[in-house]
Amino acid sequence: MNAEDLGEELRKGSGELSRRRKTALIGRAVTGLCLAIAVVFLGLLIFDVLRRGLPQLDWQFLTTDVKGFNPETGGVRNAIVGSVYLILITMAVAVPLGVATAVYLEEFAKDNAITTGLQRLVENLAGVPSIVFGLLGLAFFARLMDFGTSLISGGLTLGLLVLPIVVVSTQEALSAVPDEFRNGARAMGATEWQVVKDHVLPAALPGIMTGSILSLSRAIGETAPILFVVSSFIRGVPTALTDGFLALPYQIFYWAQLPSQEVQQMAASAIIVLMALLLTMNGVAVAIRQWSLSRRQW
Amino acid sequence: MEENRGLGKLASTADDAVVAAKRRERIVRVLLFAAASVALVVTGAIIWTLVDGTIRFFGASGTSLSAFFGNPQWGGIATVLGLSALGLLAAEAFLWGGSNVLGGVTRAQPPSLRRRLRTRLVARWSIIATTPIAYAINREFFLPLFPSNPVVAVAVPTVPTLGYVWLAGQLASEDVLPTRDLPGPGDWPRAIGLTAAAIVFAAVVTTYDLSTSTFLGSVQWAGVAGEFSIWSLVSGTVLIAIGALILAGPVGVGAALYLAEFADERVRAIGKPIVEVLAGVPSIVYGFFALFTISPFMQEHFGAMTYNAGSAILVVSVMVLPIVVSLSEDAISSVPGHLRDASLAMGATEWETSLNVILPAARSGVFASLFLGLARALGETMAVLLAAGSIARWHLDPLMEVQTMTTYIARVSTGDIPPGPATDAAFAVGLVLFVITYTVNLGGQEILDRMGVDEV
Amino acid sequence: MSNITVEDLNVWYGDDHALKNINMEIPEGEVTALIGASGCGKSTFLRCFNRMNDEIGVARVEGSIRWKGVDLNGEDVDPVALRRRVGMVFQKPNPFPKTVYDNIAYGVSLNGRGDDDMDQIVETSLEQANLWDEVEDRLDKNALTLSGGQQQRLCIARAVAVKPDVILMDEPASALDPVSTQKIENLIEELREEYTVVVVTHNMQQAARISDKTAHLHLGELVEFDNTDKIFENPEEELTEAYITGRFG
Repeated sequence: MNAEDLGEELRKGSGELSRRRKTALIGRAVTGLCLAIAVVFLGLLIFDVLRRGLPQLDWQFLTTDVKGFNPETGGVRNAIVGSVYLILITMAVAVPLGVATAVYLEEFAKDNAITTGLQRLVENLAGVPSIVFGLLGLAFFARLMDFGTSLISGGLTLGLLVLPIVVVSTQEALSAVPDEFRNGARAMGATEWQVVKDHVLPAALPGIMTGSILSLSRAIGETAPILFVVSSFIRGVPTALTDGFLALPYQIFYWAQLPSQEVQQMAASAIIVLMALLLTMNGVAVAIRQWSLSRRQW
Repeated sequence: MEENRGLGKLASTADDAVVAAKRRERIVRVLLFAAASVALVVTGAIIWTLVDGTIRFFGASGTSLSAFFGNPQWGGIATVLGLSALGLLAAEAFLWGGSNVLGGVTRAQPPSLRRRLRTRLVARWSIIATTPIAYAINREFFLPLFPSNPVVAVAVPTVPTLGYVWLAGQLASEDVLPTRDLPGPGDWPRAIGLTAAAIVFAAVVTTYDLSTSTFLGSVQWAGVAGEFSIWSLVSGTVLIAIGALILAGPVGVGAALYLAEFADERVRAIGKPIVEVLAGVPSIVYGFFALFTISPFMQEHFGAMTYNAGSAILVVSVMVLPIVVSLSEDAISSVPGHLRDASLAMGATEWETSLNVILPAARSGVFASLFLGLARALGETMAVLLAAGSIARWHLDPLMEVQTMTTYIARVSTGDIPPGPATDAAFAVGLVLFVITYTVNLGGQEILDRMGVDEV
Repeated sequence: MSNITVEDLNVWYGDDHALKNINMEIPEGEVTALIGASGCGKSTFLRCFNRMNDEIGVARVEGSIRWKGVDLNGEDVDPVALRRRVGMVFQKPNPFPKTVYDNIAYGVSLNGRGDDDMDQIVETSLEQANLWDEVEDRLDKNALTLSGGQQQRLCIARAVAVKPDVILMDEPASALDPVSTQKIENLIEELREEYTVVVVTHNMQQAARISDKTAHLHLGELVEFDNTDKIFENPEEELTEAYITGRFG
């Protein structure tokens, strides 16, 4: 083979290779487009909601209660309060239970069939459709335990819904703690629980908090599980656990179905409020993560 | 001696503290185990709730199981068809770690191999095609001859299953190059298991066949009128979930491939969080967008109804996207770099490398992501409730209104369905939904757990 | 003459100056060994010949590598085309998780070549790699089921199958047992007849056994480059003397 042939063969964009290069370019563009679709969709969605919801979103909207009749004259105050209360109960249920479960599975459990089984149950529980949790809430909390359509029923239902998510995120935080911490403490004669309590949990705390807040932010946007236990026409804010309640996502759903266009726009405003709440929670979670990463010594 | 006594003393003074600590340890361990068992309790409670409600429903409404699960003309055929397909897909998935389920042929394979693969494809799908035919022959011809003979029922799916294995075995025994992928005699145990499952199922289905004689009418879910057949809810659910997966699958895997293989750092830094944000948007917000923005568009350009399955499919596919993207991306990124290097050093372009080496090696992760995405789509409620409406009818038209299993339950909760058997039916529907999603999830988890670099 | 001439070759990884002003001529149809302490840049150097450094974002290569009048490091050279002519075998055996057959067929089919004579190409390549007898009846098995030594010879067969002119080997026997190493070394001996081979090794006995020419690199610089017997018996440079007698490195 002489020199010119090789030069020609190796030159960019020559011969057979140019076709393969073109295919590669197209392939790359198509996959890039796939990502672009996701981005564009999110952009459209946000733009659309803002366009519809911002005009009537004012102080009065935030500070007036939901009006069952003539909703146009009302606001979302008690729905916001209801959602916040719900989250507090959800947190009280899901975080202690979830963290305890994760500590058991990650730090104490032996590597046997029971542990694997529990782990599987947790993972699969996270995949159970949320409306099924709604049925559970209806049958168990509202009917069997006779809490009726109340804040406590809703909170407990949501608590069970996010429990597996809290468990999994806590497990991740725990497994990120290096084993040297544990072995160091064990070598000092600490029992397993002392190791966990004094060394592992403090080290994993920021991770656990971040994960828990993110899980709760999922709960605050959930509608399906509380459909059965929400009270559409309740007035004012709940004052006891057994009081009926409203919640932001439910209010959005309810308004979106009413024929009045004005009310439909209010649903968009409520979406903005809900998204702002979500964003705040996520912001706090990310801030905790960044803060802990910046001071982490390991 | 002196020393020994000293140590003994040390041990005994430490004793109390150690004993106390150990006792605390035991208590804590029990408490933590109790907490961990909550997952079991919750799962149990869900199952109990659903089963209890289902029993109440069947008792109160006088609906028979066979009516609920539909007219055998439709339901039976669809079930035999669906199950033989599912059984095959499952068998294939577990045989080969989940890919090439549709007999994919990669460009890197020489024609002789390609021919092999094509034959394999034919063998594989022939069972799916022959099952309903065997079923029809059985039903129209043999059953009237032996009206109460379960042996006939047993024979139905056995024939194509055995045929499949035989055909594949024949092909494998041909004395030609690569035949690894074809099932051979070594696959008999698996084949027998598959056949056994098919036999049991056929027996059940055909027994229904003998006990009922309703026709098309029974696929309608007319809950208020006291007629319950889950098939029209199934068709809605399948339409939305499969539709969403068909859209989200390729787009999600494409986006994952782009993020993992082609995107530069800057694009990754923006793209990945955006995909995560999509996962964080509440489903009610997607529903709102579908109803007020996508649906008008569909009405104007495609002549869809106000409520239509199409808008729901679109938003549900976006909701499924993050699951597919993030899990697939994890799988693709975990393919060892030396495989990439090897392919590039052979003179493959990056695209050829991705398509022929990286994706096949990551396929069980990709496959698992599709499973879990499907489970998510099956269980989605609010977005579908707002967008797809609430008319339960046996059809697969994306321009029309549909009701899914989830949205039927939701409709019960909003009080749109009068109390009585129709509301109790929510539990029966919930049970079916639970079983389906749980199975799909289990499949996905199973694949994830066994994930590694795949044989290609 | 189609020797490969390296002129003023410099490589940076970010701020790290990995190769400094390398000038040498790799003879055609011979085995050239690159030796030197770890981190001396010998693998980096090897990866210049098939532009694998392009795949590392932070790497920057300057200077020229001339072969048959073409600057392999030139802007207008397509690395993908180049790699068809310059094959590579890596340190750790890295067969694709495909069948033995498909491993060989992969590179060939990329160019749409050999559709009908694929079986023949597979057989010839495996024979060239002295592997045919061992895997003849296992062509349909996953390549990962082969032993480490067999995998490495499969990687060599895979590289040979696309009929390159040059084969680069990056410590091809370092992850193998002595028997497998022996087989690889014999194989390199045979490959010399048809290919230009450049092999990186940290094993000096190996370099002495298999190569015609040896280049010693130290901290990114070419210390000495000469006939292998000269290098090992009577090196010019003290640094080389010190290295091959094991006084450091």
